[in-house]
Amino acid sequence: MLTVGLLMLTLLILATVLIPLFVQIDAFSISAATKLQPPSWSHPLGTDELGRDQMSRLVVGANISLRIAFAATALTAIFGISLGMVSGQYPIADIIISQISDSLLIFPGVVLAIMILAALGPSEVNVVIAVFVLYVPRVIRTVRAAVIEYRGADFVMAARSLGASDLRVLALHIFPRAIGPIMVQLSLGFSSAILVEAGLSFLGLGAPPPAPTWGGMISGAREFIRTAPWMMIAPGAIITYAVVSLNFIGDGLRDMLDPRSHSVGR
Amino acid sequence: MMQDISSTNTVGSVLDVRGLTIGFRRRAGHVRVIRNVDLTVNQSEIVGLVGESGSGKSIFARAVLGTLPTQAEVLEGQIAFDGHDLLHMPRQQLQRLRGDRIALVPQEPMTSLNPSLRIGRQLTEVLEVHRPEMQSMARVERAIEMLDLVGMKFPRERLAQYPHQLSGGLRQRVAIAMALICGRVELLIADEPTTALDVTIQAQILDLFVRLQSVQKMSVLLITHDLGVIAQTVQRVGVMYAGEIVEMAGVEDLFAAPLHPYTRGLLDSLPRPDDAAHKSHLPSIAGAIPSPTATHHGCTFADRCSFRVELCQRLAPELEPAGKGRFVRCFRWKELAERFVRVDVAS
Amino acid sequence: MIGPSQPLLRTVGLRKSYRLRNGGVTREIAAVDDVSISVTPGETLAIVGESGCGKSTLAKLITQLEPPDSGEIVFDGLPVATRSRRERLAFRRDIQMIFQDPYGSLTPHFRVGTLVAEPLRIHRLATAATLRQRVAEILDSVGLAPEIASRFPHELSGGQRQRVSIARAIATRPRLIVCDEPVSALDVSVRSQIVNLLLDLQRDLGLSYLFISHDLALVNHIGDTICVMYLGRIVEQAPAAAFFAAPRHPYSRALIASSPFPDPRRRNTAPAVHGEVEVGAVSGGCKFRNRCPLALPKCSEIDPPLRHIALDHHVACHRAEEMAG
Repeated sequence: MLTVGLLMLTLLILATVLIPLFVQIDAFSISAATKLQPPSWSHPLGTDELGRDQMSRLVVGANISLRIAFAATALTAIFGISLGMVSGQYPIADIIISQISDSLLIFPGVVLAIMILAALGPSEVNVVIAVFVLYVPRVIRTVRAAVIEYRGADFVMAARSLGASDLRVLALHIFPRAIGPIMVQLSLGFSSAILVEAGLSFLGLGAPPPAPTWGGMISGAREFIRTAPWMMIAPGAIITYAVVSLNFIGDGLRDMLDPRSHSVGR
Repeated sequence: MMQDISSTNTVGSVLDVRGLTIGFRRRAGHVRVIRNVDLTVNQSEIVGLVGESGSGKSIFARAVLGTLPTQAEVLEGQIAFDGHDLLHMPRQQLQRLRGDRIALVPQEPMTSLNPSLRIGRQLTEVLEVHRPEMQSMARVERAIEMLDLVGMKFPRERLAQYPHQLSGGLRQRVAIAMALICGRVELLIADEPTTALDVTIQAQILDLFVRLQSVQKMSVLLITHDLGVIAQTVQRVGVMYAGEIVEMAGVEDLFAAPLHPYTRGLLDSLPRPDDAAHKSHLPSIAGAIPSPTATHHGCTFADRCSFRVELCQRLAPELEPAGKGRFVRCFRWKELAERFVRVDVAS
Repeated sequence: MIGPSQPLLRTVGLRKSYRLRNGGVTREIAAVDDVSISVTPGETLAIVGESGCGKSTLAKLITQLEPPDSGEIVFDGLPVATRSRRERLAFRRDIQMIFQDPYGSLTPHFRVGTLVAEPLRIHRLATAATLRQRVAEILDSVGLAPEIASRFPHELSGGQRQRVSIARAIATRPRLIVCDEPVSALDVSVRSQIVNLLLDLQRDLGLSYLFISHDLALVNHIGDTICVMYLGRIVEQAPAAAFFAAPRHPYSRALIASSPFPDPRRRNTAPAVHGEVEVGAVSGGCKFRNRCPLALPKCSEIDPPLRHIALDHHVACHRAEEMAG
C-alpha cells in the first residue's frame, strides 16, 4: 500500500514537472473561439467557458496545490515537532502550549480555515497559514504523547544519568522513536492540506483568479455541468487521485509501524 | 470417543508424554523448539521442569493444555492424560478437561484474570462452565471456600473486588483458586507461578502448592527457571536445554550428584553461602543459549561444554537410563560421575 | 578529595514521597523515608528488599534522576545539591547506573559503538580520532569483541546487552556504580558471567557498587555491607558476615528464611512471614508490625529508630537485643 501511494504521488509530481517541458502550457489565454470544447488532440482535457486549456490549468493548479500543501506541511513539521517536544518535556510550557493547541482543535476544520481567510484575505500565503494553524495542534499532540511515553523509559533514564542534556535526549533518543507516528500525521496532514486548499478555493477564499486552482476550477464548472462535464471531471478526479495517494502513504506507514502486523516468530 | 492408549502407558501415570517434537512453521520449514521429549507425571507427584529461555518448557506446558499458538505444530509424539490421547482429542472434549481435570496457574496473574470482571464472577464462571448442575448460591459458597483454602483473609469481601485492587501475591492465590475450584483437578500445571512475586510471598505460594497437593492428592507439574524453587518444592526434576530433556532424576539425587554437564554447571554457578568464597569468581558456563534456528550436529550443549570431546560434536546423544530412575543425555556421564564428587552443600 | 577511609557516598535523612491516587483517594506514600547510608571506596553496599521498599527510588535519588524532598547526598565530601552546573556534570562522570532490563536500557536505534561512545562525547573524554580506539578498549574490558560496536541491541543476547550497559557505565571511569538488579533479568547460566565481570571491574578500576538485589545468596557472595529496606525505611544494616550469621531484625530473618535454598535436604518447614507488603496502609509505629511474629503493643505506638547495636550493625527494632545469636 505504501509503495502504491508513493508511486502515485511520484507520478503526479513528475507529471506536474515534466508536462510543461514537452507541451506548450498556457493556462491563461482567453479565446472565444475555442470555448467549451470537449477533449481533443490540441486540448486533451477540453477547454473551459473562456477558451482556456483545461490540462494546462490542471498542471498549473497542481503546482499551486502541491506548493501550498508542501509549505504548510513543512511549517507544521518544524513548529509541531519543536513545540511538541518542549510541551512534553517541560510541564509549565506544556500548560501554555496545550491550552492553545487544544482550543484550536475545538473548531471544525473548515470553519477555522474560513475564519482565518476571512480575516487575512484570500491569497496563497494565507491558505498556507490556515492549513498550518489547522494541522499543527495534531502534530504537537502526537509528538507530546511520544515524549511523555518515552520520558520514563529505561534507555532515556540511562542517557540522562550519563549526563546527556535535555536537548540531546529529546533529539537523539526520543525523536527517532517518534518519527513513525509523526510521519503518519504529516502525510495525512499533507492530504488534508490539498483538500482544505481545494475547499477554500471552491468557496473563493483561496488564491484569487486568474490562478487556476483545482477548487476554483470545480466551482467554475458547476454552471456548465450539463453542457461541458469534462470541466468538472478532470479537477475532481485529480483531487481524488492526490488525496488517495497520500492516504495510501499514510496508511501504509501506519501499517508498517504497527507491531502486530509483523510476523513474530516466538 | 476418547482414544484409549493406556496399554502403551506407564500404569497409574496422570501425564505421559512420549517423543514429543514441536516445531514452528517458517517459510523454509519447521524450527524445532521441542525435540523428542519424554516426561511422565505419576499420581500425587510433584514434578519440576527446569530450564532457561529457549528451553521449550513453556511451549511444553501449552502443548499439554492444547493451547499452542497457531504457528506451532506437533510434528511427532503423543501426549496421554490418564490414558487418553490429548493430541487427537476433539476440541470440545479437550475444553471440558481443561479447567476441570487439567488446570493451569500461569506466571502473570494479570493476564489470566479478566481485569474488568470482579473476582467472584470469574470464580463462579468456571463453575458455570464445568459444573452446570450447581446452583448459583452453591457456586458462590464454593468460591468463598476456595478463597479460604488458598489462604485469603476476608474471602467474602474479596469476591466483590477487581484484580487490580489486589497485590501480585493475592492475585496469584485467586488464580490458584480458579484452577482448583472444580475440585476434580488431577494435573495442575504451574508455569513460573512465583517468578513475578517477592521472595516472602513466593515462599507462601510455594508452601500453598505443597499443602494443596498433599490434601487434594493431585499431581503438579511445576515449570520454572529457579533451581531454589525446584529444590524446595518438587520430588522429581527434568532439566531442559534447547528443546530437549538433558537430565531427569529425583530431586535429591539431582542436587547431590548432577550427571549432565549443564546441570552441573548451573548448580556450580549458584552463589554459595560460604564465607571463604566471598567475592571470588563464580564458576560459569561459557557462551550463550543457542538459537533454535541454528542447525547443529551433535549435542546441543557441546559448544558450551567444558567436557566435550570430538564425538560430542559429531553425534547427538540419546537419553540414557542412569540407574535409580535417572536419565541423562550425555556420552560421558559415567566417567564424569566417577571423576567428580560434588561438594556437599549442607556441610 | 576524601581520604581512603572516608565514605565516598553518604546520604543523610533522604526522603522522597509520591502521591498515589487509588480510586478517588489520594495518599502520600513515602517511597524513601529517612534513609542514611554510606559507601566506602572500593566496597559493595548491597540494598535488599521487596516491592515497595524504596530501593529503586533510592537509586534514582542517588543518581540525581530525581530530586529528594529533603535530606542530603554527599559525594566525595561535598554535598551534591549545592554544586554548580559544571560540577553537577562532573558528578555524572563519577556516578553511573546499570539497569535491570538489558534490552530496555539501551537506546534501540543506537549501535553499540554509539552507545558506548556517548558518555565519552558528552564529557569530552576523547577526540574524534581517539574515540573509536577508546570504544574498542572499553568493549574489550567487558569481554566484547570490537566488531560488536557495529551491531544493534536487538542483535545481541541478554548477556551481551548487559555487558554493553556495563561498558557504557565504565566509560567515564566512575567511582561509584549503582547496579539495579543487574542480573535478575538474565538467564541463570549467564548470570555468573556478569557477576564475575562486575567483580573483576571492581578490583581493576577501584569501583564502589551500590548493589540492589532481591537475591540474598548473590548479595551474600558479593556484598560487603548489607542494608535491608522495608517500606522506605532501613530496618537493618550490617557487614555481610555479621548479617548472615546473626540477622537481628525479624524482617531480615524472614527474608533469609524465605529465600529458596538450592538444597532439597534443607526445606523450609513453613513460610517465614505471612501477609502482604502493605504499601501506604500502615501508619504510626513500626511498619512491619502487622506481619511481625514478634510484635508487641509498643510496636504499634513507637516507630523503632535505627540503632547502633553492635560494631557497624544497625537495627530498627525494639526487640533487636533479644535476637542475638
